[in-house]
Amino acid sequence: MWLKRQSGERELSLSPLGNLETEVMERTWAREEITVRDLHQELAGRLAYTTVMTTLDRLYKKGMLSRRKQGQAFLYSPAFTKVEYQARLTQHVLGIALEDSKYSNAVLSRFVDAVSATDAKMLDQLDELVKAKRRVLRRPR
Amino acid sequence: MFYLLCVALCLGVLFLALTTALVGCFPFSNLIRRSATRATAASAADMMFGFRIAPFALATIVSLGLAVPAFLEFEPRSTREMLDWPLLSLAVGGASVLLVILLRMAMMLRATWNLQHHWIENSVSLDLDGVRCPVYCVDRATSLLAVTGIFRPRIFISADIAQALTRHELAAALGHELAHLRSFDNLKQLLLRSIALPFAGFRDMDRAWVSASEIAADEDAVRSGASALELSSALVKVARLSTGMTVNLGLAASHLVPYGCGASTSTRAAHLSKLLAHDATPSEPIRGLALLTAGLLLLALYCVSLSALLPAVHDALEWMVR
Repeated sequence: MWLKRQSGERELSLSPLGNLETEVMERTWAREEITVRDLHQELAGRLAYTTVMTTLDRLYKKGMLSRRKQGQAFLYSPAFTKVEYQARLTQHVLGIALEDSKYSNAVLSRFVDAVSATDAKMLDQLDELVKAKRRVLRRPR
Repeated sequence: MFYLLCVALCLGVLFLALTTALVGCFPFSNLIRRSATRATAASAADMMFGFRIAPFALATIVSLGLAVPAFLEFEPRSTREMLDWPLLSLAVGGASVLLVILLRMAMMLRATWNLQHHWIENSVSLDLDGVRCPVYCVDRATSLLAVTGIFRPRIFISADIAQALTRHELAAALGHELAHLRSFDNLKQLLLRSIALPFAGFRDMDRAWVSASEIAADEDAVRSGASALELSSALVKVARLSTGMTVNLGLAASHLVPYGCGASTSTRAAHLSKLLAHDATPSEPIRGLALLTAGLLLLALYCVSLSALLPAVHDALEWMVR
């Protein structure tokens, strides 16, 4: 189910990026080339140095970043532009949807169907309620 | 000629009874939907499913349960009656309806079988305590948590959802899917989709049935021991994961949105909010007992009135043949 692009030993995985990965990619796209130290400073110590290093390495292994060695450190740069990435991701997801459309006649019950803007608002309210309930449950009696 | 006439009559009566029942039922569709809003979710789903299936069930009973026995009982085997144009037209109508229903069913069963095999090929089997139905984790970029199949159902979870949900949330979400299995919702979906009609009243009722059956599955899951809190949390997480990926599809793929979706997510969220806010446990519906009683009453009525009805039915058939 993964759309893969051969790139040396690495493969481009078009699974959705996590929040931190997205933030790192946004900053890398803005800077073109970045080191672990630069990014760690940019994030103003919000994250541990090792977390930043691991995230960059993971993105490199996913094929999202390329890197070259400069002295002791690696210089990371985006493997493709943000527009290119979005186009590939959209194409990929659309590809899956079109593949699924072959089976659109299938009988199945999904836990969640499509989510509209109204649904999102209602889900936010439910989420607040869930958090409030959890806070009450955690409170010592 | 006798048996050909019998088949033609059976199909003709089916068509006539079906169109009459549909025309008779149509004005009541809004009333039934409004009444369903006052009932529990499970009763509402049953009521709407019963209403949608009733014209077809009635037509089948009239055709196979009355017309065929009356014809076999009173019509001499050496009948000289011929297939006339009116009867032939009705029979063609009946055959077309049957053919469309059977074709739709075959296509859906085939698509379901193909989809299951496609997903199974890209998945690993999960061994989960207390879940009798086979569960698979699918390697797939878009979020998925669904139960497919009718005769051999299987539950599929995408890796991102399996990772995002805690153990309790996953148990609650699976409880919801197992509730669909207990109430045979996939079989009901197959029947409703195979008899789907292009009229707004019936289409709205089919959508309302989807919403009611989703809420009924939530309530059943909670009654069966799932926590409403964990179920709500799972719904929020899965819905958000699903939103992230569907946004990219845009309008180009909006026609790919599955059958009956859209209305149920916010309705479920609102219903779960109510359950959470009031710490309520949904009341037990009287589904099985009510259905069994109604079925037995109908059967008794049929047996008692059959001998009295058959001569009248045969007279009506004679009129049709002439």
